[in-house]
Amino acid sequence: MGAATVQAQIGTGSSVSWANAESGGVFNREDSLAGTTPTPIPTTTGTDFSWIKNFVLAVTVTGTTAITNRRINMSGASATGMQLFWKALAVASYAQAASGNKPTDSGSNGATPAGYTLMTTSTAQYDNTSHVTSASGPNGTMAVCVEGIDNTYVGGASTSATTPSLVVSYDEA
Amino acid sequence: MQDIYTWRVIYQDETYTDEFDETRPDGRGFAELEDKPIIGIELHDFLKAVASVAFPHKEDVQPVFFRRRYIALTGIGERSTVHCIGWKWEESACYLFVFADGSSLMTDDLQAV
Repeated sequence: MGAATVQAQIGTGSSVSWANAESGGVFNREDSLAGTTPTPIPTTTGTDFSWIKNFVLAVTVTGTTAITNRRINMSGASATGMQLFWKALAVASYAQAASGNKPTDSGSNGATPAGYTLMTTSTAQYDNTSHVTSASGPNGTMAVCVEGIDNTYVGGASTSATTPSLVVSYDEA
Repeated sequence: MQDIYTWRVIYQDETYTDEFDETRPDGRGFAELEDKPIIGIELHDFLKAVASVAFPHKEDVQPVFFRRRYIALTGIGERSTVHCIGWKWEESACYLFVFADGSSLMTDDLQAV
């Protein structure tokens, strides 16, 4: 058995359903990985936020190992006026993405939503608890991510904009 | 999942535990080491040891091994793995990160890569 097979997954639905997120996502205003309902671009000073994306590392083939040091970062710098944010949240606290639980839009450019941390190209640890890989399914907490678009963003609608790819990493032993 | 390197832990009594052997062809987790003093740890490819770290002559030195795995959500299944061997003792640590191309980095910073 040895090492496990692990996949980055996204949780959607009212009773959570986990699916492969490695095909690449789009930050939008849908409960989906890559839906096309855009995050609006403010026409005056302010920041509009996408709906949340519930990402998790999940074991798809079990192993004899354990996982720690779950981290997240962007693969490259984001465009001016576009930022990504993350927060750690237990899987048991999963909430379906909806207009009611996205961060409140701000009247300021470059706003950071309450409870979230700005994502950068440097890795940020979101969960260091050790969990064995002997069971399939989510391993550790979620990284709940949102996108913020402010008035200085000059690209097109955000779903067609180039959002930096997310990179998740973990230690397995 | 097949990795390019596997670990070997060497004990003070000159015995060792391999991640894979005849009794455990499925592979051991690193938590399955024997409870006896360790003097070193090695990374092996299919033929030989490619990296090793000797442990300080202290009691309660903790061996370190992990594979740091990266998954990029780019849609093309971009993955990579960096192997790490080393030790921790009180506030001291030594981590040897070995990359897929054979290059390496020795550091006391667990998050250096």
